[in-house]
Amino acid sequence: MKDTQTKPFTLDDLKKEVEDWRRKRPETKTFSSFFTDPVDRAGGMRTLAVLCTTLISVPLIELANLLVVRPSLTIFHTTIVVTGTITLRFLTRPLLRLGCWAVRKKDKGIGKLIYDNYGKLLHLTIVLLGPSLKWYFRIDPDDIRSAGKFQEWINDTLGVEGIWVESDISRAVRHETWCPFVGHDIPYDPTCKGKYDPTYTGDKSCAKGCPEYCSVLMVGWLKDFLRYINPDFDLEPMKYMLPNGDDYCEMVYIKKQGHMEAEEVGG
Amino acid sequence: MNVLIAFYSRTGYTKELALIIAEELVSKGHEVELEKIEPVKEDNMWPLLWRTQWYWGALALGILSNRYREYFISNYRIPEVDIKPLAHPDVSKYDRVCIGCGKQTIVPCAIEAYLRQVKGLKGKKVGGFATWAGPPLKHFEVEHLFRPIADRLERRGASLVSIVGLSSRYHEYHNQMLNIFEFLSRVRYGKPISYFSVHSDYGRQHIKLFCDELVKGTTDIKDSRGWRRSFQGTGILGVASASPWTTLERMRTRFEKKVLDKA
Ligand SMILES: Cc1cc2nc3c(=O)[nH]c(=O)nc-3n(C[C@H](O)[C@H](O)[C@H](O)COP(=O)(O)O)c2cc1C
Repeated sequence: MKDTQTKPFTLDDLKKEVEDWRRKRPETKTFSSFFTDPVDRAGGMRTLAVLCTTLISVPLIELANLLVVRPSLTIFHTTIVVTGTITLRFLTRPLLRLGCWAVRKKDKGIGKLIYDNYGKLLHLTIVLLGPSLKWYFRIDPDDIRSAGKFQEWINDTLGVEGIWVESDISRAVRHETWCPFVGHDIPYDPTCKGKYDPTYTGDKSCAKGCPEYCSVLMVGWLKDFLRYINPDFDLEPMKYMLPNGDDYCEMVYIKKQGHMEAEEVGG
Repeated sequence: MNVLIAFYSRTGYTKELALIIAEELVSKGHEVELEKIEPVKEDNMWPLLWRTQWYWGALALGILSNRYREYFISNYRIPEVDIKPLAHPDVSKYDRVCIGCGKQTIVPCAIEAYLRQVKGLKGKKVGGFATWAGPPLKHFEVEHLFRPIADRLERRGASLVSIVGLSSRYHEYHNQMLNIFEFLSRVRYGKPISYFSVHSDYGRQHIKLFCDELVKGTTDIKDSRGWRRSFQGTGILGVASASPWTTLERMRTRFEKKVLDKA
């Protein structure tokens, strides 16, 4: 969110607006008003024509797309993304627990093995899912904000809430304002006492011990995806994180400038 | 008491309700400030309807199964939109916050964006007001709109203490929708929708009740008479407030009690 202060909207403004509105309030239309309204109004003849054409043509185009143009692609990508969503929903908690456990035991033994390979496992999902996600979300390789749809998808699937505070073609910033894993719904740290022991009176925010899960593993995953879309896309290291007590997790998407141009000039 | 009223209104009906509530609060000696929430780009009615298409099937399924409906109401996702910069991005200085919107099948995307952006909600007592086209049906209108808002507020440490939802008797998608609601209203409550409108006696009473409960701040809407208040009424029991299965169950027990026991 930018800190630009907009002009306050006062009670007098509201009174004036409502008075104006009462004079020309929209009324519910009847079916016949389709024909009597001026054509440039929503609900006029033109809308009816557009609506009918759309209603008829959309299924036809979809049918042609489905049967003639890219039958296998449509079904393939949709199935992959839907299956991915369902899998992600079911596997989130075990994977998260495993990841957090590995982060804490990353120095030796099996913890180290998992920690070292976790990233590779996530990378593999990009190799497998990348093309489908790119197709499914209509991602534009020149627009970094559109690549952010991947994160929106992950957030939606896992129940994380966030907003885009900057949406530029070469820079986008997302704030995640609520996360179920930061000790709210699901214990992020499996040893979290507060979640299981009703007599425990200490800090109940279970994620405090484990921000590395997001700042290393998840960010690595996003970076993999961004690089797959365009080698110039990158994520800055996370500065603000919910588990560290900040108000949000901040993800800064950037497009490295000049790389492509240099290559093009050279070639 | 210092109150912030934040509202999003597409066609103006919720704006009118916001004004009525503001005037009611001011007449009781409270200080009111306003926040008009506006999306950066307001969609035309048809793309808007298209965006909510995913929910219709779920709504239909919800009529059949209560458990599915509950799952759906507490889990449905709201698409993201960008809203214009806020005049009061931090609400921590207010004693009470009111959030108002029109029902757009789901919670309007602009309200979702507002709840994600606004700071200082922790510990706040919040009131929710809304206009919709139909009567205050328990699940389809009241819970469908206010439950997700209550959940989201809870996640930010705030609580919903008062709600009011009234009929605007206006539906952008033509009279046919209103006819359906009129029918449901007569079946469920035995009253026309105009009975539940903003300017009716019911409306005035509930706006007053809303303001009183907001100021008091003791009700927890999520598990109390708060929900019930909005849908009490006469009419055929069970219709539009329970699944067919529950309705049949209730009819069976009534039949057993009233007919078989007497016989
Ligand atoms: C996309 C959309 C969906 C709507 N869905 C419902 C609905 O499910 N139930 C209802 O009673 N009214 C519904 N309405 C009608 C509005 O809730 C009603 O007109 C309301 O008063 C609009 O207030 P506002 O324009 O001030 O936001 C819908 C309106 C729109 C635009």
